[in-house]
Formats: sequence, C-alpha cells, structure tokens
Amino acid sequence: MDERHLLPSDIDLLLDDHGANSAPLLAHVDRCAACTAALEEARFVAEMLTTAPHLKPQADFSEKVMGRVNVVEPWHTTAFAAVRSLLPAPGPARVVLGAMAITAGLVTTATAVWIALRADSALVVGNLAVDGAGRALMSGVTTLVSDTFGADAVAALRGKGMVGLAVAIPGFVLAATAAFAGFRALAVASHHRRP
Amino acid sequence: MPPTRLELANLPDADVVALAQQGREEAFREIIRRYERPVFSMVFRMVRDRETAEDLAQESFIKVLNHIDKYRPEFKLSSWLFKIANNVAIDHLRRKQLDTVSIDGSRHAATAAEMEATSFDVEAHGENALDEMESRELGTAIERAIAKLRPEYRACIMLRHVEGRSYEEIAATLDLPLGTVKTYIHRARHELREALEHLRE
Repeated sequence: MDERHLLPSDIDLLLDDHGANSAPLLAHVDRCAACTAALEEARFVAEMLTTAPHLKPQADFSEKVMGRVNVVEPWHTTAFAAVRSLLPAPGPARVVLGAMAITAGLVTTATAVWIALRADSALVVGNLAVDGAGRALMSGVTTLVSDTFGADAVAALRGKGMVGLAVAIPGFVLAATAAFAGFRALAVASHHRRP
Repeated sequence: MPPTRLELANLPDADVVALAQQGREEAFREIIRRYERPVFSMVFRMVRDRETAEDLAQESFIKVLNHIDKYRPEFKLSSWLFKIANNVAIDHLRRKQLDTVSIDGSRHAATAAEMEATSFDVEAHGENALDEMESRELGTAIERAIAKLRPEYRACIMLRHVEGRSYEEIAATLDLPLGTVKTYIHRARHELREALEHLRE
C-alpha cells in the first residue's frame, strides 16, 4: 500500500473527481488527517473561487475594440465573392448557366484530348505546311533575283546554297536602301537649287 | 449566405475563427462577445483597476484580432487570448510596479462618483435582496483575498478554478514550467484559505 501523502496533482485529481483513479487516493485520505485537511482546504478554496463572478467590462467595450481592428478580407475570398456575385440567383437561370459551363468544359477537354491523341498527325501536317511555305518563298526569291540580276545570279546563289542566300539578301536590301537614299538626296538638292 | 448571429453563437471557436480569417466582421464581434468577460475579469484581477483593465483587455483583443490570420488551430483560441492578456497585464505591472489596489474603484478616482464609476460590477446570484447582499459580500471577500496574491499566483489560480483550465493548459498559456504552475496554485490555495478562513463558518 502506498502511504505517501497527497501531492498537489493528487489533490487536483480529487477536486475534479476522476472516478476510479481517485479511489486509492480517497482511501488514503480516510486514514490520514493531514491529507484530509489539505483536501478540505483545496475544496474550500475551489468552492469560494467558483463563486467569483466574471466581471463586466463597459457596454461599449466591443465597439472600442472593433474601432481599432483591421477587418481584412483575403484576396481569394474577395475573388470568390466577386465570381459568386456574377452568378444569377439560384433557379432556372443558374441551372442553365451551370449546364453551359459544364458543356463548354467538356468540349474544351475533348478537343484537348483529341489534339493530344493526334499529335503525330498534327506534326506531319505542320511540317508539310512549313515545307510548302518554304518552297513558295524560295520560288518567289528566285524569280525576283532572276528578273533583276539574270539567270547567272540565280545559278550563283544556288551554287552557294543557303550561305549565299544569307549574304545576298541583306546585300540586296542594303544596296536598295543606299540607292533610295541617294536618289532622295539628289531630289532634295534639286529642290533647294530651284529659285 | 453569411451565418446569422444565432448561428455564429452556436459554432465552435475554430469555425468562428475561420470566418474571421475570411474577413467576416460578425465573427470578430462573436469572439469579443464570447471572451470579453473572462479576459476582462482576469486582467482586472491582475491589475486591480477598472480603467486600466478596460484598456489592457482591449489591447489584448486588438492584438489577437489583428493577427487572427496567424492563429494556429492546434491551440485553443481562449488559451491564446489568455496568454496575450496575461502578458499585457504582466508588462503593465512591471512598468507601473502595481501590485494591489482597492477593489472599490480606481486609485486615480478623485470623487465618490468616480470611485463608483470605476468600481467593478459583481453580478449577484441571489434570489432576494438579502441573498444578493450576502453574495456581494462574499464576492468582495474573495476579490480582496485574490488581490493579496502575487500576480503570477492570481493568473494561475484564476485560470485553474474560475476558467477551469488544466495544469498543462495553464503552463502553455502562461509559458511556465508545469512544476512552477503546480507550485503557484498550491501556494495560492494556501494563501486563499488563510485569507478566507473567517468565511468557513
């Protein structure tokens, strides 16, 4: 038998009356005058304190606090409320809008899935389109060079390949710009010399 | 559809805090409504001055409500509030070195009217005038006994017996070791018993 005196935590346990756990402690209290006195003391104080009332602050306490509290609505709550405000009131209109949204979502999803499943086909079609555009561009450039500089220029460009083309096109643009600037300067000079 | 005041009153603290975190003003007011008396009571019993207690309790609520987004749900809202209120009161006592003052009104009161205006309002539970008078007398004796305790004892004993907190909760709320809380409560009980001995008959 444990005959030690009650610890403060034991007294607290007895004050809270924790059923079976308190039985051995109560058995000790029955045999020990010191612990009986300690328990009575604790019970007396606890009973007195339970009668201590909650005190009332001034009636405007809440308003004074709220006057200095920043009530902040987080951005996601604001955004959600904004979206919700755009929705029609519950009823047929909201049902129709919901059905439309679901349909749009399904169509978009189906399209995305269809494109993903046919990615190879789309790639082949894309390559064909790029090749066609490239050939048309080259044909146009060849015709322009042939008409402007003659067939020899075309042959020279073909002989040099893409490097020749990369050099010739900027060269042509540069020459054309220089020529335009020269003719314009002459025209302006001529205009200034007129009486 | 925002909850009505009645619905708010029936929600647990965690749900009310969640609504406050969404910026619902009514949820802020509900938190104040729930805890203004316990928090004010604890602060008043710490500083023993109504005006000061009003200011400090307001400061406690303002600190908590302005940082409601920082609230961690693993803690009780009430524990957080009591912790802030206790810290605010202890800081005040350290600054002013106040210990005990009259429960009959503010020490700053210059007239009888001011004394009455600044004294706290003990709620009577009696059914008639005699019961009410006895209840007030009993309340006053208890308040005087509490006022004689050291501030750290006051906080512990009030949280234990008036607010019904466990030792572990008190230790967490007041940032004290569990053993210290047990010691404080033990000593506070002993001092209160001596102070209230004359009422035992």
